[in-house]
Amino acid sequence: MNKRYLLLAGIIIALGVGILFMPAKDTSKQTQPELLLAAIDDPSRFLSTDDITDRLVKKDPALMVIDVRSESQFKAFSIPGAINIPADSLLSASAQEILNQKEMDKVFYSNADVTSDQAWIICKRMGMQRIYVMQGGVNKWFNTIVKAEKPAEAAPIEAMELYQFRIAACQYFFGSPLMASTPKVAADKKKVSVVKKKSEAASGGGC
Amino acid sequence: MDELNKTNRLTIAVIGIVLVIIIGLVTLRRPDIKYSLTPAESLALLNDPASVITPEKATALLKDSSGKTVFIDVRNSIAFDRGHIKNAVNIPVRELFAKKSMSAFRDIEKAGQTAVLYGETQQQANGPWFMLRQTGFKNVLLFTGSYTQLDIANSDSTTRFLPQLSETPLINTAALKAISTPVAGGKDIVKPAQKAKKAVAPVKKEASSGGGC
Repeated sequence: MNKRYLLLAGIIIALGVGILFMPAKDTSKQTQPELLLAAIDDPSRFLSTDDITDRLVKKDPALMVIDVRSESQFKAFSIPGAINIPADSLLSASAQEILNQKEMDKVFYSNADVTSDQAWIICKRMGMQRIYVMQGGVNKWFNTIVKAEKPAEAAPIEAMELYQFRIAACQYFFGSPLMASTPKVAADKKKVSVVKKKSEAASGGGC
Repeated sequence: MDELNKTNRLTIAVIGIVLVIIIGLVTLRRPDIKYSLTPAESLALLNDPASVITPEKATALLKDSSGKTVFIDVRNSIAFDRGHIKNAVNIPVRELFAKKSMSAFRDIEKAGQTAVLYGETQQQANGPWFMLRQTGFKNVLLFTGSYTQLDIANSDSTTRFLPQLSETPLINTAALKAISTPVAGGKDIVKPAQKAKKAVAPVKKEASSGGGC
């Protein structure tokens, strides 16, 4: 036997044993920390409340609005059409099944955009695609859509159009511009002049 | 002669294999930054009140001069130059995993200090904080307010700054229900039907909240 054969065989065996003790390779498709940080630094994951409202009104079938707050908060008030996945149960099997629907745009929201952003980071780390965060959360949604503020007289036409869109969206969701300040005053005034003692009036309609 | 040729070839083969192994080991890229928490552990971290600094706690920390706390400013350098917390270190979000920043965080860890991350908003510091935590830094805390809040607390300790946190629910749901239900009850409404059912009674009295165009 040639000694070199033994050496060669020894090296090969040592390699084989080495492979045996190698740490199990991470087979999951996790986003690497550097890439995830770059994604965090990129504000394109934020969608505005108006954009989402627009898509909700248009009944966009590819849009899924996900409320990551607790169930009690979700029940108290939520954006119409949203589903509830509390942040704690984000990794449960049922939640994962919903979130892994590739053809859907998943938009997270919480009261502000911190919890929802944390949920986004976890999901992004797990390699999910088409996930977004609603900028400002439901607090902002409420303040811009439900409590839409009428722009000043001199405001550009875009501001007026945006305001009218918000009022219309609110009417679509709730049947009336709930808290929109100015139109309510107008409606009250109208009531004073039109109401004929009945007070029943059912003036609740609007157009 | 033939025997000599054979041994030569063997020698070359041995050297070749050893070379390949050495080159493989040298060029093996080991990522510097790795996750040390699983997604489930990271998620559990979010409910841990010990990993955040509320504005109230921050006020005490700002007065404390023992040097146990290092404030990290994650805003960009322009904003940092315009104004920042005294002794704060500027590490913009995108430079968080740069070698320089990483060694800064390791130094803080070695010195037994605590790093408190703050940004323009809580949201801005949230990402860097979460990434540092997931990659194994245990001594990194998140300030749950904005830079402005921290700055006010810093400049004048007697002023009570807004204690409001960004994730505070602001919607007065009770008031909302009172307003929305009369209309919702009367109209064929699409989604929040369950809300409407709860209080249909006041429909008769309250017609005032009418829509109008």
